[in-house]
Amino acid sequence: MVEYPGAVQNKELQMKAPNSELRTLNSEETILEVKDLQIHFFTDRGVIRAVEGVDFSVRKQEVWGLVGESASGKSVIGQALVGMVSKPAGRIVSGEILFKGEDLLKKDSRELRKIRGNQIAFIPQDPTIALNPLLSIGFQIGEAFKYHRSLNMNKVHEQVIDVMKVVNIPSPEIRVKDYPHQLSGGLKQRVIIATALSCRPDLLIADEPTSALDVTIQTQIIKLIREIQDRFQMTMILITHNLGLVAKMCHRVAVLYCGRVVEEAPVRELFKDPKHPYTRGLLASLPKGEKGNVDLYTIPGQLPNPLYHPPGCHFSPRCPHVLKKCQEIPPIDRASEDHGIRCWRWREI
Amino acid sequence: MKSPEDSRGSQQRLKLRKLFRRIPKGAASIILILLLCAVFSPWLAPHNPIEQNLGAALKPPFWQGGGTMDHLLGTDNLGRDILSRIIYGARISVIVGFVGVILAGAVGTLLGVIAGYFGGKIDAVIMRVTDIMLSLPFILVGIAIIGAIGPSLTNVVIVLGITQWVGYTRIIRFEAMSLSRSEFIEMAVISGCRWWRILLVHILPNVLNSAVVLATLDVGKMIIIEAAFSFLGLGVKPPTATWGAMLADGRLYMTVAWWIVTFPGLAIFATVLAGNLIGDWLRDELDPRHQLKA
Repeated sequence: MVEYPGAVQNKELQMKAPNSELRTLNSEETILEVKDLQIHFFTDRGVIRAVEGVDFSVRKQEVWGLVGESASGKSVIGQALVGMVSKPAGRIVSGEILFKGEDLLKKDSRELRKIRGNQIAFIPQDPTIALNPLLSIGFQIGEAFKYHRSLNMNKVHEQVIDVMKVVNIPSPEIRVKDYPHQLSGGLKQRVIIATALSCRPDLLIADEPTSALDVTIQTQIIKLIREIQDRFQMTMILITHNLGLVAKMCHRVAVLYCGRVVEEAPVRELFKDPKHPYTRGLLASLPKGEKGNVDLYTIPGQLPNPLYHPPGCHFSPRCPHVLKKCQEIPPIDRASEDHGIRCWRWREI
Repeated sequence: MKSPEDSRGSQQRLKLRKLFRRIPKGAASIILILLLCAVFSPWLAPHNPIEQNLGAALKPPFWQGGGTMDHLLGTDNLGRDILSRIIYGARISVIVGFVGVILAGAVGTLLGVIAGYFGGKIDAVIMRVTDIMLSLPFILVGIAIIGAIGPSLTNVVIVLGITQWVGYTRIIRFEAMSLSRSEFIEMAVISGCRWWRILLVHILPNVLNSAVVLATLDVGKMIIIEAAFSFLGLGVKPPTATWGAMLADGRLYMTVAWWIVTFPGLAIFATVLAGNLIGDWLRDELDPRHQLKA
């Protein structure tokens, strides 16, 4: 089931979400293109096909959402984009990751190093374990900048203070010397965001940036990320299980189920007119802001065992519209140029 | 809360004062006395440590019948002043203990961090070498090496360096291994750090605490090993005073002259204890999480 961080936030997001705040963007330039990405984990019990041929492209200045349940493969895709699929079990079996036209998977570690942290930055899930406990936060924020841009300590210091101001850390001149244990969870996540921003990357990948935080801090961090994205016109990939967050942040979104994209669409279309039965189920299971106790819709069944994905359409065992044909893998069908659905029957249902 | 106007210098001084506020006073003074003895032994020692005076052999310490104020801690079987020999022996102990530990600790920690971070073949090779080192009887290796290059203080330290790193490697490797799977190391990789920078800036400081604690425990071990070597005639050459050699020499006279072995033994005991206490203190202070409590 989709997890919801809290009723308060859902209600608030629901009030804001489906209409006025949904974002659209007219940008044509593609910054990242992923083609037929397949990532497998070779374990003792068998091969886990975490990502089974995912294609997508992200346009410049766009916030692109990747939604899915736990274990749908969304984090693995994020890791693959920064070249951090956990070895030795995980392996990128095939595919291309074209960043500004160049395939990241063909680059050696030296070329990759020049891109990571500099042009592509990453915000991890849990800020409490993503900071080195023995280094001051100023040092950690400045590290990527020092490495990629300038070795001049004064410049680095200036940049660190500057970035700390951008993420609204109070009195940065004093805070620079603090150590991670002196900060709250929310502040730590701000520090992480600051480290990601220090080189003004072209692409920011955020892997569930708020799921380790409590609800009030979540809204603050979301607001901050959106402000920053607006301000620097940064391209961003937002990996999340939170549909409310997608509604608030993204321009386009892809829904992932068992390692495959089942539907991709501009956020407005996805929320107003979902086509794939899985997406419909997800949206139907969101609370609508009604008063009193209303039973929420639940998608029947549960996620299949990752070792044995059902043949054909992976969603078919849980799908109310299943036919015999669903034993074969459906291709991505286009409702419009931007709206793709991986289902045999989406026109009829 | 510090005010932002505070100058950098005064903050640094405050930090230093904070650091030393909790230093164990007794242990620190023992180490200080040891260092003073090592540096200023010619001025502190009342007698020449290798001068024999058979007429004054086996004199007890001053408070026992027959003892004199001339030889405060008595004399050994050759009439050499015990106190002077202990003061001069501090030099050898300090050199062997500290240089040996630094050598072994540096080699071991570095190899451990490398093995833990890289894993795979590099790890396998380093770990098999430590297995070999552990399976060899240490004294035999020592005899072989010293036999080949000759007995001297420098050679004892070298032998300690190349045989005692194994313990560090095994413990540090494990820590480095779990650290390199941690998210902040991944973040460092993602932000574009080179491997040596990850090793030196991100992993090494995080394992240094364990290394320091191990090292302080090892100071005593080094001093004792040096004593064993001296006993076997593989260490520092005989007339030179070392605590280990004093123990070995006095062993035969233990029933008639308890002071010959007791005082060097006490010196070793006090040094090892002080080393351990200082190590505990350093471990706590080096951890920034500890500053909250301060």
